[in-house]
Amino acid sequence: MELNCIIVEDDPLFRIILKRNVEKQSVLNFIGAAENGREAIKLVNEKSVDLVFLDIGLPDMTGFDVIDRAEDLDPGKVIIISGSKEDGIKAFDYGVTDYIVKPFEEERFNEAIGRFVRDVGRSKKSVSFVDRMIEKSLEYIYTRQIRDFEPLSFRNAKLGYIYPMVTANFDFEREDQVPKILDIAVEEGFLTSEYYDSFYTCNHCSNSYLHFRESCPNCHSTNIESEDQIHHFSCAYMGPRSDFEKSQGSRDLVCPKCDKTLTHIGVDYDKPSEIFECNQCNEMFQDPLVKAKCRNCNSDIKVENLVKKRLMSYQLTSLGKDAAKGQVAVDVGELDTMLDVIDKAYFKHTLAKEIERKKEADFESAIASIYLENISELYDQLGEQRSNNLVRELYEVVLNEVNRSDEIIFKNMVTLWLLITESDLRQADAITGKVIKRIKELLDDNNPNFTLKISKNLQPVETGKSADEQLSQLDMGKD
Amino acid sequence: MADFFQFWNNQGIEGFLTIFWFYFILEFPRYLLLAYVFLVIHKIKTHFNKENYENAKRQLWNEHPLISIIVPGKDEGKNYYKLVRTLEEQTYDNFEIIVIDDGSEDNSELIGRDLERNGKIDLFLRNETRGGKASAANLALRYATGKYIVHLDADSSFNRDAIEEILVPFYEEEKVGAVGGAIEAKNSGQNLVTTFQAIEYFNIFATGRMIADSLGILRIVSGAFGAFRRDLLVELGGWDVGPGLDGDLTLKIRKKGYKITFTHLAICLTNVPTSFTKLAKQRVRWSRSLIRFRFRKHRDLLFPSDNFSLSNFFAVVENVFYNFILNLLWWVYLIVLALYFKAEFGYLIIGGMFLYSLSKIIEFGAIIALSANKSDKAKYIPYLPGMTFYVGLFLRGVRSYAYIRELFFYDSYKDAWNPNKTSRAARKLEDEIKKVFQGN
Ligand SMILES: [Zn+2]
Ligand SMILES: [Zn+2]
Ligand SMILES: [Zn+2]
Repeated sequence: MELNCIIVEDDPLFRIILKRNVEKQSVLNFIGAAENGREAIKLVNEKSVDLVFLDIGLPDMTGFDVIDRAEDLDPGKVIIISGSKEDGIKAFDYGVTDYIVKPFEEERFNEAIGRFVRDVGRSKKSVSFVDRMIEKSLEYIYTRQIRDFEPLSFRNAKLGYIYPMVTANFDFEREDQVPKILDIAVEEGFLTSEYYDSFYTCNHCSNSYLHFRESCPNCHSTNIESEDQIHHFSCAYMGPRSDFEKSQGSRDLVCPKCDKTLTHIGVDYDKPSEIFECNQCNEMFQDPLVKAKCRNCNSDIKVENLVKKRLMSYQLTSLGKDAAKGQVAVDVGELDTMLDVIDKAYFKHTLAKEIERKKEADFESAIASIYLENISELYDQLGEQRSNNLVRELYEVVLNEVNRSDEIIFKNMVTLWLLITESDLRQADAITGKVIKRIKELLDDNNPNFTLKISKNLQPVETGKSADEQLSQLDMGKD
Repeated sequence: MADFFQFWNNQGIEGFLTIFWFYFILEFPRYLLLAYVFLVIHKIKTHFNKENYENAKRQLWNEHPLISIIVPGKDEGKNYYKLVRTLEEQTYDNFEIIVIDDGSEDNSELIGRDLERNGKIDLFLRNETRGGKASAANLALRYATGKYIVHLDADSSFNRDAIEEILVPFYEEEKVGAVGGAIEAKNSGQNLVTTFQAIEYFNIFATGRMIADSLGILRIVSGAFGAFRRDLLVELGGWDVGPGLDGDLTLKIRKKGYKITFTHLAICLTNVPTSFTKLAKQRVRWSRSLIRFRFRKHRDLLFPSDNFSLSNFFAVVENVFYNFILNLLWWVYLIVLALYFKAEFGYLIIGGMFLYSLSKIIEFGAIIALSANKSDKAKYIPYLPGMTFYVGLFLRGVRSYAYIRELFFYDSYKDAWNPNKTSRAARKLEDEIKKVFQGN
């Protein structure tokens, strides 16, 4: 990439100095110089100019007049070179790229060029969201001189933590992307990281607000109670505490076998275990299922299957400093996320549009949810990366089964949403059936030891209710 | 050799009988004569009982009660799977399995929980700290719901009809409180030690107990395989602390006026110790219980009281006499012989060997006669002369050692087999009982 540049400067000595500086930069291609405003406007209009070094005090007009009058001149392509600091604020109001005060150090000049080149590169290939976030983070850490960029505990955050400034750029559903992005910056050498904390998050939505509780291994009810078991040493009687209570809740403990009063734990009695009883089905057990209910997406996950997340603090490297100063470009490409496949917000948006469209014209459409009931068992075996690939594959398979005008998207890793437009319920049901069949085939072929349990719910799109209402209704109705 | 014959020629029949009076007066009637008398009695009884037995079996199946199989133990995880498999093969099918892991330090919990999750064990309970076998069994009893409790060791396995057969006696007679099954050595052919024990088990469990059963003096329902009425166990408060808790419970059941019977048709196989050292340790533990429970805790059985009954008295006296008094008397007898005959003592040893070997072979004849699988039992005959040393010297020696230590040093309270705390508490309790009895 080479950038064509011109110099607009009335002082001949500075013209030479500037020209020499420009020629040292391999990315810059000097194509001409102007001594006054009129010449400058002519040059800009005639040639394809990428960058203008513009003096403010010209003999016939000011530099700002040049920007105003030259139609093709985008202020973003201008670096002001001025003898005074006075016009700095005005210059930035104009939106120029940089403002250098004469006389300047070579380093300062190079920095300006570096930043400009980076910005140009960015606008040419539409810099990715991830790149932008990394740059923002690096600049933030650099300008605030933060030695250790630590997450802050924050109750309403999805992970229970936020990274200052960075997390604010994400909506709640995507807050868990932040550590992933910062870790990419570590991989690229902009940051180093140190262990900060670890915790469990929901397998489906990465939410860290989980509700842990014990439940009955037989009927899964959480209505269970535990009782200490007491061992009376001298007679070897062993049974629940209530056996030792003469009346219910009595504080005195008397052995039902030998009638002695228990006096001192560890000396004449002990509590070696605890037994649960289910109030629902009367099952006795010691090993309750411990499950974590996600406060965000309501999935109920066995704790053994939860994934542990590590949270890090970050430190700027010298490469990271250079990137923050604009001397090095951040270019890591797209983050490998599931954003294109799992997007609740997008579907909601589409459905809202469909509702509007339906108000205008007379046609029927339907929404469906397909619930892959036990697929998390398979995910647990596959691990995160392969599970993501599987979801992507399912998505592509399903996409082939529906019409172009229909919408499909995963609501989360276990639920697929369909919008089947311009079809009545019967037609929609047929399409949903086809989709389910394809999903089953794909999973059965590749995972002989796994039998997918699948359920669906289907309902017509109504004009009287909001998209939100209809979607929560769709979720409730799943059987 | 010639001297040997000369010596016995001089002694004559009368001298032979005099020298071996211990055998002819004390051992021959108890072990040999009685074996054959009761073999005949048993055969006749069985013959006439046949219809009763069939009826009892039919009644069992009609009622088809739920049975609680309880398996207390420590560090037995490695045996759980095999145990569950042998129980799945049982002809009797209405049972729940309750396994107690008494503070194991191996992976018992993992294995047990896994079997519980897969429905192979109905209730798996773990004590974080070890409480001893009695409290573990009592915990299982507390949560058992079956009509009968079958108490097993995790390292045992069972003939397919073992559970069914051990239940039948409850329906054969009124007031049966507990039933003992027959125990045989699973690893009998492994080496000489296990072979000797296999023969010993045939003796004890087949003839010994059958005889005692016919006389109504059965001593012990083994913890390795025994069935109990649950209501009775609950009433008695289950098992008590200490070594040999099986015997203790048996006595309590008898005191309550319930019968204890034995069936040789319910067969359990168990692994026996594989070296003389391990065997000695096991037997020391068993023997101590005799002192502890007969002499200290159940004195009321020996001395007239409200609970006194002749057969209970007889059971205890028989046990104490044969296992304790005769055992110590035998050493006196041996020393007197050695002092009296001096150099000729060697002839007595050789003569005694012939006598005892012959006796053992005849005694084993009763076992073969009783056995369903006669040729299987016959293969043990070559080992019988060796049993003279095994029973006469090894077991007797171990037993004497244990009795003496227990009597004078209260060893069982320090037994590694029970956690310290329970032994200490049990001893304190007994001391208090003693004070009350002695009035100070
Ligand atoms: Zn339940
Ligand atoms: Zn007690
Ligand atoms: Zn969730």
